[in-house]
Amino acid sequence: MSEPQLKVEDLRVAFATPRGSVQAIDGLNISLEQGETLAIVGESGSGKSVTVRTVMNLLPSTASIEGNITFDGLDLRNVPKDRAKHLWGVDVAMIFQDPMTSLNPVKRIGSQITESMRYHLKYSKGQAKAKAIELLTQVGIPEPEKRMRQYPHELSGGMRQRVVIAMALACEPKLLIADEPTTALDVTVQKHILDLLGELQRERGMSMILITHDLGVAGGRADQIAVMYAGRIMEEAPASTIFSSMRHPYTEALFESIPSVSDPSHTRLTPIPGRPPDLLNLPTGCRYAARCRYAQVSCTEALPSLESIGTNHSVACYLPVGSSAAIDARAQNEAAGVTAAGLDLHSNMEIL
Amino acid sequence: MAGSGHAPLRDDRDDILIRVKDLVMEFPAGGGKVVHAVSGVTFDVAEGETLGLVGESGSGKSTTAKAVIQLPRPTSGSVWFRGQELTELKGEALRKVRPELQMIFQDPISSLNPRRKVSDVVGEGIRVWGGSTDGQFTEARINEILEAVGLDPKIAGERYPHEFSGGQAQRISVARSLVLDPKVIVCDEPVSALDVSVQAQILNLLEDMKERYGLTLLFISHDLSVVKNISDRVAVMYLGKLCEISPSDELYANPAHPYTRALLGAIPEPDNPLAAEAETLSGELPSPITPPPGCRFHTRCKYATDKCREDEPQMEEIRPDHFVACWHPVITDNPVTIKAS
Repeated sequence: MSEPQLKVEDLRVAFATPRGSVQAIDGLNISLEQGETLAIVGESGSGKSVTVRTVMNLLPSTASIEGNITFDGLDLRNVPKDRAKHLWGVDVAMIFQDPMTSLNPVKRIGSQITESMRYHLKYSKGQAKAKAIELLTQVGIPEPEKRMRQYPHELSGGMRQRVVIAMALACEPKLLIADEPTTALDVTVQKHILDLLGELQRERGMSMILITHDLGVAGGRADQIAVMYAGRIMEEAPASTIFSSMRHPYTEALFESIPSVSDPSHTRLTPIPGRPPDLLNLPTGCRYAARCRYAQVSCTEALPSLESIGTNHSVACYLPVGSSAAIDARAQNEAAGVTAAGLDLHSNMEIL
Repeated sequence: MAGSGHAPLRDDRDDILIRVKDLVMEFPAGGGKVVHAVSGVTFDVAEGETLGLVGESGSGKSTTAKAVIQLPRPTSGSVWFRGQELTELKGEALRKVRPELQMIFQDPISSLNPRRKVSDVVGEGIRVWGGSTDGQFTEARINEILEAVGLDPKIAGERYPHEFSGGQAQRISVARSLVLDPKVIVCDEPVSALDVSVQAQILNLLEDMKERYGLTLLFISHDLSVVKNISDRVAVMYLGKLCEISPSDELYANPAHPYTRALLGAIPEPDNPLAAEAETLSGELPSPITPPPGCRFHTRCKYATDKCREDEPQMEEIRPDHFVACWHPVITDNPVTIKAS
C-alpha cells in the first residue's frame, strides 16, 4: 500500500485563553487515501473544525500545535515559503459553512472566481474567464455569463454555495475540505450540493474531508467515518459498517438520540444526559465517561486509546458496545441506578 | 400550489382551538411592489394538538405561525381563537389574550436578555401581568416552572444567560413561555441551533410540558424527522400556499403532493425510496413578489401540465383527514417507508 495522501499523527492543539489553556485537539490521527472521503462527525466543540483548520493552516497565533501533518509527502507544518504560497487554496482547498460570509459582498462573482486562477496559475484574463464559466456550468449554475457579473446578494443561498464550490475547485485541488457545507441550506438544496460534491469528486479523483453533525449525511456520502468527542476520535469505521456494528457507547448514544423518519410520531427519544466536558478542565479518564451508561471505575482513571478491532475499524473504549463486559457493566449500572462516574440513570434533571 | 379552499377545516369537531381562514400576509417591497409571503392559507388546530409546519426557506411557515398570534397582524383573513376573532381585537382586548399565546425562538442565547438573571427573565411575564402584589407567589411560580423544565431553581435562577449552554438556555426559553400558563406556544425552529444529543432533550421536554400543562403547539422546522416525531398533524407549505395537510404518520407514509414527495426524498438517508422525486426539484424558488400563476409549484414540478399553469388547485380530501391541493396528486396503495440507516 502506498503512503496515504494526508496523514495526521498525534495532533494536539491548544488555545491560550485568559482562563487557561483549552485543549481543543488531544492526540488525533487521520489517514486519508487519494480519492477517498472521510467524514468527521461530532457535536459543537468536539474539535472537528479545529482539525481541518489546522490542516488548512488557518489557526490563529494563540494556538499551540504539536504533531505531524503530511500531505503528498510534504510536511505541512514546515512548508518552504515559495511552496506555501501556492499550496493552500491550490492543492488543498476548503468550503465553509456559511456561503454569505465566505464571499466578498462588494465584488462581482466573476472576479472572485478568477482571482485565484490569475494569481496561482498565472492565467490570462480571457483564460480565467473561460475557465470560470466552465466551472459555474459544472456546479449547475444556469446562465453563467450573467452570474459572473452579479454580486453575491443577488444569488440564493444554494447558488452562493455553488459559487463557493466553484471557487474552491478553480485551481484543481487534490484535497477538498468541506466544513458543514450544507448546514445553512434547505434539505432540498442540501441534497443537490452533496450530490454535486460527490460527482465532482469522482470525476476529478479528488479526496475529501466532509465535516458534518448529521450522521445521515455522513453515512450516505463517506467511505470512512470518524466520530469525534472532546478533541479525540472515539470511533472510526467504514461508512458501510459503522451503523450496523457501532462499538463506542457515544456513537450508539448519538445514533439513538436522533429522531428517525421511520419511527411513528411521538416515539420517545433517548437524549444523551449532561453535556460535553469543559475543555479547560478535562477529566482524567475517558472524556465521555460522565455521560456514559456503561461507565465503570476504570473508565474514570485512565484515557482509553484508539485500538483497531477490525478492517479500518477502531474504537477508544474499555467496554465496546456488544462485548460481554459492556453488557455486564450496563446491567450493573442500571441496577445501582448510578454509574461509576456519578451519572444518575433515572433522573431527568439537568446537571448544573 | 395552490392551496386555497376551506376543505381542511374540521368543523364537525368541537375541540377546535384555532381556526385560520384565508390568511394573507403581504409586505411592501419598495417601488410599489408587494411580497406575497402568505396567500390564502386555511387550517385549524384542535386543543392539545401539535401542528408541524414544514417547507423551504421562504415558504411562509414562520410568517403564518406568527400571524396566528398577531405578530404582526395579518393583511387579511380570519384567525379565530377560543371564541374570539383575533384580527378584530384591539388594544387592551388583544393584550388580554396575549398571555395565552407564547413563543419560543430559534437561537436560545440571543433570545434571552444577557443583563438579567434567569429568575427575572422567567418571571417578567408575571410581573407585567400583576403577579407582583404577592412576591411569594411569583417566586414559587418561577421555581416550579424552572424545576419543571429540568433546571435547579436555586442554582439556575441566580445566574445569567451566558453561563448556560445552548440546550440549557433553550430550557430557560421554554420556562419563560410557560410561566403565564399559556394555551398555545409557537415554536419557531426551537431545536435547529442545538446539537443532536441536546435536541432530543428539548423535544422530550416539549412533549412532557405539553402533557403536563395541556398545551397546543405550532411547531416550525425544516427538519422533517423532527417534525414527524413531535407533530400530530403536519402542514406542508410552498411559496405562501398550503400544499398538503394530514396526520403526520399518514403524510409520511402516503405523501401525495409532488412537493411533499420531493421534500421527503431529500432526507439524507441512504436508500431513500423517494430520492428520485427530489432530483426533479430543480431550479430556484420563484420570487414571492411575482408568484407564478395557477399552481405556484408548477415551475419546478415534473408532473405539471397546462392546467397547472392556469388554474389554481383547491384543497381536496384524498383519504380520511388527508388534504392535498394538486391537480395530479400521487395516490397509491403502497405506503412509503424511509428506512433509517
